[in-house]
Amino acid sequence: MGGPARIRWVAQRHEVSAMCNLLLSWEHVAQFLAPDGTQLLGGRVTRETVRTPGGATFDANAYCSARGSTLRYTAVSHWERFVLPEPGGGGRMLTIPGTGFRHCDGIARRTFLQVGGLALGGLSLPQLLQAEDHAGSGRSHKSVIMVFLTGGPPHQDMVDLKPQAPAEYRGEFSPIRSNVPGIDVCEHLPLLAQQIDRLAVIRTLVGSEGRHAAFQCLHGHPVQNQPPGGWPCFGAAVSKLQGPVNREIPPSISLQPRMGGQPWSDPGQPGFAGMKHAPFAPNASGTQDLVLDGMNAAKLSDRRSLLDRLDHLRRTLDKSDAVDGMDTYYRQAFDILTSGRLATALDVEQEDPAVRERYGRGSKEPAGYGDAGWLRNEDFLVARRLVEAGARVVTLSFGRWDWHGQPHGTNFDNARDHLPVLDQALSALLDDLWQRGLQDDVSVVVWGEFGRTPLINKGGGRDHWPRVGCALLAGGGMRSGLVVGATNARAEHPVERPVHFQEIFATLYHNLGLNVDHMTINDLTGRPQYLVDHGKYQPLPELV
Amino acid sequence: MTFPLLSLPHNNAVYSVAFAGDSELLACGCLDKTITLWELPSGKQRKRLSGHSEAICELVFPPDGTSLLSASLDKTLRMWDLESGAVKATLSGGHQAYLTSMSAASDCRLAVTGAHDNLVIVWDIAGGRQRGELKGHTDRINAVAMSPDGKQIASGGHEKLVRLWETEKLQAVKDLGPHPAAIQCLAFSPDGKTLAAGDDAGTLLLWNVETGSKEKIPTGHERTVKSLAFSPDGTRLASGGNDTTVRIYDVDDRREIDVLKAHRNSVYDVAFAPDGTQLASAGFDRTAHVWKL
Repeated sequence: MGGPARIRWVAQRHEVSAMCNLLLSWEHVAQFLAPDGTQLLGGRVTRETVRTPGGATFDANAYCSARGSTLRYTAVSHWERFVLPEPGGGGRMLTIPGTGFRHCDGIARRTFLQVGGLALGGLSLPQLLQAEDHAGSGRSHKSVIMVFLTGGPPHQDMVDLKPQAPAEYRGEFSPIRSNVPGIDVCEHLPLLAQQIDRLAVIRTLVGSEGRHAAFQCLHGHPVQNQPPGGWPCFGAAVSKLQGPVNREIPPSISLQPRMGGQPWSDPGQPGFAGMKHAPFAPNASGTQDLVLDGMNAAKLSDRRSLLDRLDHLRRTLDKSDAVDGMDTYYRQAFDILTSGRLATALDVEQEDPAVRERYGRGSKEPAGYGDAGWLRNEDFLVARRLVEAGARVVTLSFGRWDWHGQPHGTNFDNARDHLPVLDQALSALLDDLWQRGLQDDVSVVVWGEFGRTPLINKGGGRDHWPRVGCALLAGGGMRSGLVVGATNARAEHPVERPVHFQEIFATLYHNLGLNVDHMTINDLTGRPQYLVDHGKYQPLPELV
Repeated sequence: MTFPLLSLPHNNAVYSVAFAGDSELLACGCLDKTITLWELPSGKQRKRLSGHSEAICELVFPPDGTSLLSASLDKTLRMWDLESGAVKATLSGGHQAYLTSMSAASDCRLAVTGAHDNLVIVWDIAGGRQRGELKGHTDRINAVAMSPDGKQIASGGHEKLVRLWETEKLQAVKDLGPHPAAIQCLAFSPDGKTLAAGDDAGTLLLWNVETGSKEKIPTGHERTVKSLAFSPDGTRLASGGNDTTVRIYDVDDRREIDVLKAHRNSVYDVAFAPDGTQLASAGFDRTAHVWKL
């Protein structure tokens, strides 16, 4: 195993003849195969697309951490089936008015990209709709919001402070009392301190594989030794087993932005659940200016004009026979893409300004020194809007918590920067969920890939500490106002009730109504795979 | 209580501040790899300079009034043209690890840098080349200072001592210390006779460069003294700390005379305006404040 290998390739074979074609065929799959043919990691491949007279050129980046692996590139399976007739060949041409330059087919460049970007999120929707029918789902709507604290938060500086420890261990922060007697938290979490009665504090999260990646927090399993096809992420598994709640909102949505640290920006892999269950990842695909930037009036105007154009597209399609004969699910996909409900859910500008202020705005600038995600409070609000609209699983990443110390700020400089922002955003989310009566329906989990070293290094930082970490759980009908587990006097290791990552996953599956003792998804060999290690991990009895 | 005249928001932690010679321009270097130029007293953003690939740890305005010298963790120094925002010169190739500190003589013909490679490098800024390396430190360097006349250099870091060097001969002269903890900041007085040093234990010492004697200034900093600057007339000293405060001292009386509170995180840099009437401070709280003294 070595460092990340960057592979770049260009595929020029696929010819794009119409907007419709783009909407339906924007999905490409990158699979990395080990020398023995097993899949290591997958990645969605969608970036700039440039139309050329000879067809469309797809220029994409993909990453894999294993040397010697090969890349297998495939287009979505229905590509060929739905190619519309060439312009001038007697077929119908679909054109969307736009303001940018026009390609030879008359499609404006800006429109082309933006609609294509939205279609990225909807690409798997036809299949998702298919899955819905097969699963007979939509009967209930429990949901999960997962907050990934990218890089590994310092457990001992957040919810497991050790004021009696020597200075080189205890750090700079003091504990404050919460609204639950006996549970103290960091002084920089004053708002959450007043909502500890809504939270379950896990002080003994164990089982980290020690890898700097979102994978384990999203999939529940280590990267190594995956079954054929790879583990599906939590959202993909839920999508596979429960399908969408409604026809307009994908069941699994990842708000992770693109990051310099590729393993951190993983939106979650579909694995053997199948690409159709890949999370909709609007921020990863460059569509921020479409739906997620609520701070710029000019972009808002663009977004509205885009919706206008989408309406126009739908009217055009309705009047035409261009989509007749298409798979019913593709027609439904157009309904999703053009209904605006998804875009509406993603658009925080439609939210009560007072609620937005309560969450705080945050920033789209990369936090820390630029290789991780942003500290964007509004993602918490977007997550609430999405689960309310019908998403079953929404994941988001928040900030950069990999605080090794100078010269990139000490652990405590960074904590003073991040903790108050997390405090505001998370406490606002809890308030919001409770005020809307969603506390039994929506589960919230906040965690990172590992904890941090008890001994402060000479640069004022804390390094990686897979031996123990922390997690916060709320909602979902779980018991709260309690602490699970205890660490030793220096927060080095559990001395009481270690809680494994998979116990958290089992609890979240339980909250969604999925029994980890019985539910399975077949891997690519057809072998049923349980959601967590069968017989080993159960939902946390302290909480459910 | 003193309030800031201006509070200038940034996208990320502010690591460095510097006033231009006419005090009408403030440069702020950030963790996000950019330098922002602010007009004073309006606080209007004039320009944002991009090009470094890491945080900007130090900024110096040369006396020509048309340039800005920046140092970055990316191991390079860059000379910027203020009018166009273009890079006029890049000095690189010396350090093998994070460049953490830079200081220049008042004429800006010479500068010195220190880095996590334990190396101190003297740069001929006018000639655009390296003048020489100062070897001997055995641990990371956090701070360097060059006397205004360019003849002396001080460096310090995790060894907990200050090493004085003679620029011309590129030789160590003496060691000052030890400090109780790692050195974090150094500053020569305008006459070059006194060296102020701050450390991770919250200690602030004034070293007599010639005799090697020291005097401790009682400071209210609870933790690390992160940044230091003498006023142009040498009568006052400012410090910024990890306790989020900026503190002003009367140098002759060796006492703290003011505490400036507005930052919400560590204060990474302080700088007096050339006329001595204002002070700028850079915070990890993504803010630079300008204070009237």
